[in-house]
Amino acid sequence: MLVFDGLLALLILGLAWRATSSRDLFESIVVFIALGLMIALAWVRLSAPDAALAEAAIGSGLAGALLLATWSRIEPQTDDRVRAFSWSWALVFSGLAVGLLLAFAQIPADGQGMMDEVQAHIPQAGVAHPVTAVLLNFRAWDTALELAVLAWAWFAQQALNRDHTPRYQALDGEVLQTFAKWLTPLVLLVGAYLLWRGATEPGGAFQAGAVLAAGLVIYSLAYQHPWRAGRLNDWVWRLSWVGGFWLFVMIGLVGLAMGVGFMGYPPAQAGGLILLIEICATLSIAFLLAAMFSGHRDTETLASKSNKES
Amino acid sequence: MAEAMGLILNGLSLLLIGLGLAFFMAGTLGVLRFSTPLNRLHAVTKADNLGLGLVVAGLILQAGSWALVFKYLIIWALVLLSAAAVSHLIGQRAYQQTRQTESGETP
Repeated sequence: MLVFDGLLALLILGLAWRATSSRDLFESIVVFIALGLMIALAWVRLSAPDAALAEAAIGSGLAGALLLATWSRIEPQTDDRVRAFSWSWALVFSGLAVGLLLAFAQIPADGQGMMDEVQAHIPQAGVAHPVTAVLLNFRAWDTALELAVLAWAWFAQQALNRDHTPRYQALDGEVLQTFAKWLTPLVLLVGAYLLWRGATEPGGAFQAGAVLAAGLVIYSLAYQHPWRAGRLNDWVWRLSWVGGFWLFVMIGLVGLAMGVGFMGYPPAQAGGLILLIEICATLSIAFLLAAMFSGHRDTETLASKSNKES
Repeated sequence: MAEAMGLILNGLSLLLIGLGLAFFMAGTLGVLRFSTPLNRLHAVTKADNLGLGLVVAGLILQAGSWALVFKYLIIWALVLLSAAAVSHLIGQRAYQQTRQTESGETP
């Protein structure tokens, strides 16, 4: 397996180099997606299936889809300029590389890290999987802030990108629609399963949210318009976008009031509270990521605009 | 007797996975060497469908439980489904582009 690991590491470095050095933006994006898949494989080899799932679903899949959607909205660009070698940047990056190597060398080789302490507190955590216990209980604040970052990114994207939807290619036939219809039940099943399984084994809100978002993206591509679910008004959608974060914080405040500290849960209710937070976080993540891909807010103005154009 | 069975199973697995890998090699070579998108698709579907199918068949012989066999088959079926849908989309796009270049329109 050492040969395989070595080849994988070389492949990752090669792909990373290609993704950053390519002159063609489209090629860079495709290589970046392949890079994400290889990194996911590396996480599997490091026995970190949680990170592998997240990397494959979000880092490679949805980030790739977002990059491609961006690419379809901007003018084609190829950088033909001769690249000058810059000593100052070379120095900066060499310094960074040396720093990283030094940090890497300081990791204790037989390090258990915090694993003993985590295992000691698992009975109070409400979930049996150590990764979920850390993410949703011991370091819940970090995860809540991740949700806030995601919502923030969506706000920024909305501000920059009001009038653009992906440039959909016209489709002949109904293959993609049929595919989307067949896939939907499976996507829902896998999303719910990943969420539920997160309590005892690898999985959780981010992975489940990414799977649901991928389903919404396929739907949006198949039907060639930003997805709209019924006639819910904007206010309900906004709540679903930021709801995961706010519910998280509210429950955190309840913990403060009950004397278990901010973002702490009473051990007896921890399991139920974590499940509630995870369900809302999953929906928030799924809707935010899908809305970033296809745009949601300006659905009606866009529809009227495209009617005028045609 | 059980030993001989194990040996035969291992041999069969090796053979099937080796054959699958050969299809993957051929498919990759085709993607790299063929010039038009449709030819490349033709090459890569062999790797996706038959290559992965053979690898999965080889792994199924090593699977300890029916649950694992079922999972392998689901993986193969899902890859088949997505490969078919994606190939269709790429092919459609390639066909549209060829027609546009032939009729002299700018895409």
